Amino acid sequence: MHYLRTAIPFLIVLAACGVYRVTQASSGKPADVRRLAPQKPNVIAPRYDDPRVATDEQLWAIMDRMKPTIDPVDTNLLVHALRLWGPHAEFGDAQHPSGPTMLQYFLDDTTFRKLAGDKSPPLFTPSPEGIAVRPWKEDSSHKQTAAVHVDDLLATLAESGVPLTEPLRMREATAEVADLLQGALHRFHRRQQEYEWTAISYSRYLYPARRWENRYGQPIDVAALVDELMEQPMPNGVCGGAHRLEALVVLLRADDTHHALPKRTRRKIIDYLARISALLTASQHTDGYWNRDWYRGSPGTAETATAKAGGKQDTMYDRILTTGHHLEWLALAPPEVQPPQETIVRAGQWLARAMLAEDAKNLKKHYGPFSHAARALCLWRSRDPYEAWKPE
Amino acid sequence: MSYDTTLFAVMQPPIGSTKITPRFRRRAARLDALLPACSRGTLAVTVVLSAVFLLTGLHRLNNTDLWGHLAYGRWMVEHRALATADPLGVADGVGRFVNLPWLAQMVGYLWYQASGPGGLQLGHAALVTLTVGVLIAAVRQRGIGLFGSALAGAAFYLLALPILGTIRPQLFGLLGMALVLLAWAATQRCKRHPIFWLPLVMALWANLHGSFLIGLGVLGVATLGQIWDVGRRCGSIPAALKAESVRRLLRLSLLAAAGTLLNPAGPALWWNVLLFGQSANLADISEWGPTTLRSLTGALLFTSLTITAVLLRRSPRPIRAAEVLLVLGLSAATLLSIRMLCWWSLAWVYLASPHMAAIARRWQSPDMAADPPTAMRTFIAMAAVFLALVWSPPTHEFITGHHRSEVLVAAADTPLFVAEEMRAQGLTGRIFAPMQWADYLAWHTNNALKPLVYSHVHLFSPDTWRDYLALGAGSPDLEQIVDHHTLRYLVLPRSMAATLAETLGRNERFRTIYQDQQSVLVEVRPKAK
Repeated sequence: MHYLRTAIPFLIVLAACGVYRVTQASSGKPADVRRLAPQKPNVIAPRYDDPRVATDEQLWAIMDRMKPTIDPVDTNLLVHALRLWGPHAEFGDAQHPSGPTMLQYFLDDTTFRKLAGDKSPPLFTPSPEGIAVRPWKEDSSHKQTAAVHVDDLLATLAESGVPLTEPLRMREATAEVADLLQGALHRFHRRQQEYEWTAISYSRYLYPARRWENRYGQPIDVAALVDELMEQPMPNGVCGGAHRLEALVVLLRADDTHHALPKRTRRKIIDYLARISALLTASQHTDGYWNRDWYRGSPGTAETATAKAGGKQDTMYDRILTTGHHLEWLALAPPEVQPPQETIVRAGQWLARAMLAEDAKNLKKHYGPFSHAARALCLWRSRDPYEAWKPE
Repeated sequence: MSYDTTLFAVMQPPIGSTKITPRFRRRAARLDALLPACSRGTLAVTVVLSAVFLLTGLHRLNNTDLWGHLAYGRWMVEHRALATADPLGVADGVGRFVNLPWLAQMVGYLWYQASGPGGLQLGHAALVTLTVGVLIAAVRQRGIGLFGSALAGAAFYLLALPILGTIRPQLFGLLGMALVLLAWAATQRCKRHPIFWLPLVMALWANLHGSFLIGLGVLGVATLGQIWDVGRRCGSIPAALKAESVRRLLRLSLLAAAGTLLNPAGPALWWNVLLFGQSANLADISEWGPTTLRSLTGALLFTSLTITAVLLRRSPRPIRAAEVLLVLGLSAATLLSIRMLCWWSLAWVYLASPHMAAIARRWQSPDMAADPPTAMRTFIAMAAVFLALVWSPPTHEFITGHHRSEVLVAAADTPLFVAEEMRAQGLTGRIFAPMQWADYLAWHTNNALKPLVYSHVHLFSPDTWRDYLALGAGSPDLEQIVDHHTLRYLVLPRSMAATLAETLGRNERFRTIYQDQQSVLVEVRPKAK
């Protein structure tokens, strides 16, 4: 009897552990991405229309200069062109690939091979970790047709409104866009060098689902993703960190529909973007542009920017890239994070003039970064880029 | 007053208090009927051990030399043989290869295979808790109450905290040392049982970690001290040698020493352990360096030394020769080498506790001495154990069945993703990586990657060690060193990559093939002919 009584505390602790196990059983692994995601991506529409930023005539002239080319075929150019023009654009000649052709370049290996050539290795391949995208490698003879950034193709498909059920015809297998998303989220980890487009893909395809698990067994939730986007100092990240800001804005906008972000997280993002916006106001050059030194919060001079950029020149290219990217995320951002409208107008007008003055060869050479500038101006007019250019 | 919100009142209801309601009495009686009563001391021991288990379980797997030891264990298990040469196949040091902790490595690897990375974390927490538990028992054997012994256990944990947070074979040594102290204390109380189990413990310790010599040293000093103390009382050393208390300790020490000879190297093991610290490379490793006041280790050591000085002055107990010898010896050793802190902590708590208890008794109130056990204390002890189990990550994993991968268990600085990338790409060959990363890279790629240097630095020649340090410091001779050691890849932490950026950027032979926010992987192209 004495021993039995002594055993009681141990039995109670054991029973309590058993009850705890039962209560925790339902909080196991998160569900499969396919079951979490809605079929169609979240649509993030532009929200402002200020003709002072760019006139209709300026938009038309700029878009006319930004028609895509396939000589030679360049995946990075096509992904930017699809993003800019959308999947319905038609140019009426073989020199400029149409929107449907550009979309099929990514969705169908037959179209990909038609444009990139039969010898070109496939862009997508199935792997045990989900569908893998052929990444850009310096010494590859096919680097022109590889993906330059992690998950930028997926994010562009999302921006183009491609549903997750859309077939993805690879060279030796057929899958769906959902498999591409599954692979991206499966591979994502918090030490990833480039995570901006994974975050955008998540916000557009998966949100309001708030949690998934990567292949390393790490649970990733929206709070972790937001921290990742905000933790790194500026200008870390692709294009001086601008895509991190874009990812945050896309998430905020997706949440406008779903209202699933915790209030604290939403507040944190808005405060962060407002601080960035204040930096932009302070660092705007008198001509209206921003250069790569924008994050320092003072306009500086071309010489100081060059010196601070480690000898890299503060060129017109740098200014268009920086100004275009910032105007682009600001065009989608909520009013509470906007700088004074005067700042936007000056930046827009500088950008429009710069894009029209830029050499055609440079426009082709730097099509990717410059396409952001063209898109930004269209967004600030709430105009679909193709509609802004489309002949009557 | 609500009885269940006033803990002190519940634990010790003032007799005859008008605040105790009949409802309280009924509930207390029901609890007393259900649960056995528990003393204040038992509750303290339970709370301390639960806290130690919980806090140790919160530590992730540090990437010091853990992964290297596991890689050794894997090699031995797969080859069904003891390693007679560096299993990673990269050591170039002169002299015979002696793998002291072979048993710890094999046990660690087999345990990892059976229970995964979370199991290692569980093993870490269990081993430290067991060590604290044995130390509490040893202090208790010195005539101190359970409550005081529990406080002694907590004091050890706090003192040794900088070292206890890392899982290494040394933890087996700490348990061995606690058992040596328990055996010493029991022998002092004329108990005979240590004669039977301590030699076995020493035999295991000699195969688990090279620190067994410290245990033997403690026993030797205890015996010498006893001879001195008895000799002083009797007036002659030969007379002291005939005393039963001396003979018991002498027998125990000799049997313990004999136990350590049961190892693959036999008596040569002692010599190998003594020679281990001779490697000049160890001078560059911080844990082998001297203790400074500015470090946490230094602060803890000097705090305990200050308390020792107060105890020497205030303690009503006589100071024994063994106590003086051990305090002097171990504190000097800790001043010379940071890694000795854990041994100092164990011995210090064991030696200082009786003196602290003697001083504390002066202020102890009679109420505290006569403190009846209560069922409520049992209830609180149960709650402490339950909370430790569900809050400690390794037991939470076990209880809930939610398996955690290496990413969630390994320390944040572990190069998990670059290692995975290198494995996925099937990269092989010689690499440069910081020592704290090299073990994991070799482990994760099943020894396909051969680091220039890894944590077993004593295995490398001074030339290789010098080259390793030069590479890490951004030497302008980077290319020559890389070619000399036929390195194929450089795995660099971000900060090191920034230091080397200019040198690497100038040379087309170095090409970045992977990077994340933690690391940069650089491929070394062959020299153009």
